Amino acid sequence: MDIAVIKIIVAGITTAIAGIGPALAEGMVASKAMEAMGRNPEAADKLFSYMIVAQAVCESTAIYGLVVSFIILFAV
Amino acid sequence: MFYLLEIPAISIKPDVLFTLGPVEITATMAGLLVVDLVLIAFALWVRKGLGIIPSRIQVFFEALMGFYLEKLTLAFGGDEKKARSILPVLLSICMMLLLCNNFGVIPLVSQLTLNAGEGAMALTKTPPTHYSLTIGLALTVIGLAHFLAFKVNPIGHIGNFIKIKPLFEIKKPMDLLTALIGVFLGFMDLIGEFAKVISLSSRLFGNILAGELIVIIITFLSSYTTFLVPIPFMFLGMASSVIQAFVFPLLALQFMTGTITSVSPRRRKQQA
Repeated sequence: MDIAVIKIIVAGITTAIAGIGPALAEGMVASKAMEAMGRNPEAADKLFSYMIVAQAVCESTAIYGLVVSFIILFAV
Repeated sequence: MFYLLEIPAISIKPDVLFTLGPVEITATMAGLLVVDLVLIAFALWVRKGLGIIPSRIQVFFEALMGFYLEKLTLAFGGDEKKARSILPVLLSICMMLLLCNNFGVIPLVSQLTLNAGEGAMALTKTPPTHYSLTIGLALTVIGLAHFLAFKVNPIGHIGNFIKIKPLFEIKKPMDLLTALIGVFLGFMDLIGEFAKVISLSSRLFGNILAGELIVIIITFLSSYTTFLVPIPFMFLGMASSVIQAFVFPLLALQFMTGTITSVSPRRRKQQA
């Protein structure tokens, strides 16, 4: 197989697998935050910013996968 | 008719405009310079109109400052004086990133090119797509946190990472095990500090680069997707840029306050 083809396939697999975990995690964070906001609407503003930070932390593994696939595609 | 357009060469390394001794001046640096000039001009303009009765722009900046001040004060356990001493770093990073991340949608500036025709290259480029900028920001923030913690309590701060104190207090054989585990955990904390730098920097870099690349790839996918189709992706990129501009200082705040309060004498947390 050509090296360019292998690069594309590997980059796709990397991002796809790296996206599974953070997708579940972000959904979990959002659903719990929604529950908390529904129970206590006065704290919604405070919870929202914490939710965004928590989601950014969850997202980091997906971004690592993305950066790795960029490196595979464009830098190796 | 369906045909592929020529996708411009995508590279992670930015174009080098010229070299100044050993330093390569890249397109992203030029972009950052433009952002800096805009920010300085903006600051002077806002300063001129300050007043008791706030103008619209003043309300915006006061809200931005209040947002971070509240978070910082809460993280320091109600110590507003300490919070105000760290606030300018985080606030200026936030404002810089707000402009930097959305650099691609600023008209005219992002389309300037050098050497028209053969060997044409963009004069300015979105700054966070250069890994040096993001890792520099992350190193500055984490390094500042360690410097401040070291200034407060040098022995205590080093002791947080090199935990050899329990080794001198061994009385039973079982204590040796817990002491060794303590040494190992301190070593892991040391690695964790480097992981913080990598995670902070690659989060910003990956998000911004991905937002740009998606727009480029969708635009040049085929002749049908050149005009209207990239617009939703541009909005997606802008949304994630703004979120990253707020999240980077917030995470930096968490890391900084965690490092600084771990060496400070414990104070009673204020009830929120």
